Amino acid sequence: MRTRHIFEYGVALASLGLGGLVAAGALRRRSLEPAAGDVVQGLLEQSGVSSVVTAVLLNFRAYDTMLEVVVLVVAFWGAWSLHPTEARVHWRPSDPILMRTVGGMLPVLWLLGIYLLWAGTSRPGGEFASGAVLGACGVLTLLIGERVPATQFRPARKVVVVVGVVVFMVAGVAGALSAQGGSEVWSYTAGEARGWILAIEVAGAATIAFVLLGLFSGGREGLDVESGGGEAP
Amino acid sequence: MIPSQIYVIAGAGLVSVGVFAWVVRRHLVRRMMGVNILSTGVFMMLIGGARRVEGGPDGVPQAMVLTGIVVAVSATALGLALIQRIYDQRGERSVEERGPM
Repeated sequence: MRTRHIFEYGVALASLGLGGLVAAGALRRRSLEPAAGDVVQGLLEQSGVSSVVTAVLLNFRAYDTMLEVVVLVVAFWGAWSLHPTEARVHWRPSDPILMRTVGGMLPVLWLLGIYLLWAGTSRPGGEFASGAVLGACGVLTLLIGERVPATQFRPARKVVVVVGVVVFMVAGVAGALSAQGGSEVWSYTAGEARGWILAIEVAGAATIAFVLLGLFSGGREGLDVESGGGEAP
Repeated sequence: MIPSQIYVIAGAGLVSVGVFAWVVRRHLVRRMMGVNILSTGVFMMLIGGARRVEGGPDGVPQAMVLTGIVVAVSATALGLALIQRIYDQRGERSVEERGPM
């Protein structure tokens, strides 16, 4: 017990020191100056979109964003491989208050998610924000004991879970095939960037929303409402 | 003190708390919460550092945090699924602060 206390105090001191070092580093004037931000602002014309964040995510740093979507998909596969997907879900009557409040909010949330997707090219929003809101819609739908449309079809699930990555790859391959001398391989040119970004955003939002929903349901196709959150039925 | 520095310092504090919980706590859910607090601190510091005086905030840290949040959520979900699996394998789901973890 005594060694445990010494260990805890030591770790507390060490983590306080780490936090202090991190704060000291971040508060240095140098680190607060936008280094990459100015470059992005200067090149915004070529990106095909007018939102800085979307330009970074889906044009200048699109390769990284693709791999982040891959991380999501891998997490989804990991969570789903831990549980049997055949587990039957007991149907139980849902809480009427939950049903009323959440049921009335869901169409508004769907609209908000689609608005965020649409706004992504010019304003704050985009595939990650939209996917998060749409995923939350799906989670609420499961919580009130309803099915999310189309998720019971196995082929549809398989398509949606990878479409966000596949569109990225198609964009890269198309860019590679049509690459002229002097332009970068595996990328889209300034002229066609807007179209590709829109396609990637729509597909990516669908994948992100579905992955978040799938992670919540944890391998089951529905949820046992009365047993609460992520508990197994 | 300008407001963005408050966020940076608070973020560093969250990093401290998160690292402490991650290392010291033995219960897996608490460890997972520690990792989450740690990542929240990092996000806060990045956003706080994205402030600049003229021309609006820096877009690059915002983009990094935007994806980072979603990835952190999915990593947390996978971690929780693994923790659930560990408890299922052990035949108990106790939240005691004991055990080989």
